[in-house]
Amino acid sequence: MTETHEPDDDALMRAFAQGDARAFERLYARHHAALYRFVRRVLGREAGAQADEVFQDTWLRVVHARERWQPQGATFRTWLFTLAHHRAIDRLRQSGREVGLDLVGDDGDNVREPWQPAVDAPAWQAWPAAAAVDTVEDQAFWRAAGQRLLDCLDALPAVQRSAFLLHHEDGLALDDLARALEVGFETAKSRLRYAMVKLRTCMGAYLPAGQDT
Amino acid sequence: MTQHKPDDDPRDAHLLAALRHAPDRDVAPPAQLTAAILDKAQQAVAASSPARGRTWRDGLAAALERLFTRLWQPAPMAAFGTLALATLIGVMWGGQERPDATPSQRPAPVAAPPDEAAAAAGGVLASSPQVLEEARDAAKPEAPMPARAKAAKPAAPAATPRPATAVTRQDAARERETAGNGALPAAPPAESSTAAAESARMATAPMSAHRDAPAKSMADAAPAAARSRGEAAPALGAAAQTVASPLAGARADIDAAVGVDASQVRWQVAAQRLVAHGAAQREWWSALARATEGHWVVVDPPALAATPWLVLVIDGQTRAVLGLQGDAVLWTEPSGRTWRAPITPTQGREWQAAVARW
Repeated sequence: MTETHEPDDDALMRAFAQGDARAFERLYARHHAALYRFVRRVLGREAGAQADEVFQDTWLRVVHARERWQPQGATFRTWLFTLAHHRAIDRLRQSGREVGLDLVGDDGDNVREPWQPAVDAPAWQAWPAAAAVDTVEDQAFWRAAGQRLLDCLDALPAVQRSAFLLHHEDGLALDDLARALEVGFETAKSRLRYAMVKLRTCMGAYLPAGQDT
Repeated sequence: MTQHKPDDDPRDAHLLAALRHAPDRDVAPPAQLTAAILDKAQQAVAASSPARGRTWRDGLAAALERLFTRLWQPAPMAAFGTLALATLIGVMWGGQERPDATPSQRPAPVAAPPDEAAAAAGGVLASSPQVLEEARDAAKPEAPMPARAKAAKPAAPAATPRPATAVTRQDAARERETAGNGALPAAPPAESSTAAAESARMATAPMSAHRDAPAKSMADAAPAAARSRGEAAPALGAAAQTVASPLAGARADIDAAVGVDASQVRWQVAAQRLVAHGAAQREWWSALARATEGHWVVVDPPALAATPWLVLVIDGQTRAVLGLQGDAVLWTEPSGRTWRAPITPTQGREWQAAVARW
């Protein structure tokens, strides 16, 4: 059995730094879709028109930083999304949009641990199992849920939105999340916690079975 | 406080499922945007290595630079200087009668014997005939020789405590003026030793000047305080190699990053707080660069007790860690290489106070 060895991101970045433009193309092919989606979601609907610019800026920064780039614990992907996060937050600030603070929000006093419901009702009781996407009806349901989630994300402060997306969509662990956001571990955890509770509430996760979301 | 391990933070399955099925799941950047980004990347690569012919020239230049860096050590320099001086003497005596003077018949040397640092610096300079010529010119009025001693003249630069390292004609003239109109004996050994050490340090400036133009003005404007500091720590220079400022490379990186987006240059203070490279930081950075230029030495081994002070972060990556160690500032790069530059206690206190205000 022959195994094709696919270089990892770090190796591609080093090759790019040494003048291999094709290495950059492979990096781009690997990450462009997820990064573009991330940028659009962090910017939200109102600032979505600037997604292309932020996306391009992020990649150009990779190009400019290629010679001094060194893996320092974080993966290339974490670094890439960190760059995009900063660019997006800067763009939101420049456009005067609310970015959000790490302070407790209106519902802060009621916030419990990330996986505890904000109300006494257990979460997702009225929802089908997340793994069940077998039928056309299931697909339609989850597509509608996805649209709802995007709407709910729009209502979050940008830093919480970013924390949720990096954690759930891009799979960053909490310590990587803290590094990406350039905040302390507890701050990153706190941002994620608030985002989770707000999203679950917005999605109707705590509605008792039988009620419409 | 218990910290979650990387695999201890589960994702909400329902939110994850909703994310996976969101309508924007399949969005992609416009093809034109992708083409523009890939073009930029190719242009950047082409600009840094435009042609194959230039690539080998770059390689040759890099190899020469490595060679010079390796040779730019005291021991190889002294050996090379001695060899060059011997060759020069041989060429100058070629075709001439060998002087019949025996060592006991020769006139006593007018100059005090140089210390080791001056001898090493003399070796460095002897590699350049022009510099030797300048050294002879500079030595002439200071140590007029009897006609009989002419035969021994070529050996004078090696025995002169001020073998002129990187001293220019203007420097020599200025020193002659300072010394007065009359012919004076050579400077006292202590002063000449300091001057030689200073000259040796200055001699490194041209190498750094390639990478960092401000280094030239730094060398030109070397204040008296800096000179006195150099005198206060001669052993440091003898034990470790004085090198071009490691801040030069960082400055280039900062400038490049600021050119794209100033917010990507940050200083991490007190382990957690990150501050942007704003006006206060630029002013402090300039002061640090000015005060330490020409005084950096590579510290080996780098494991020195220093208070971690600041971390320079560019594009989310650690560029260097600054530490304070009593009367010195330490600069450590991610590779682990560490430089040290002496500072005064007053400077240390002022800089700490400035950083505390960020």
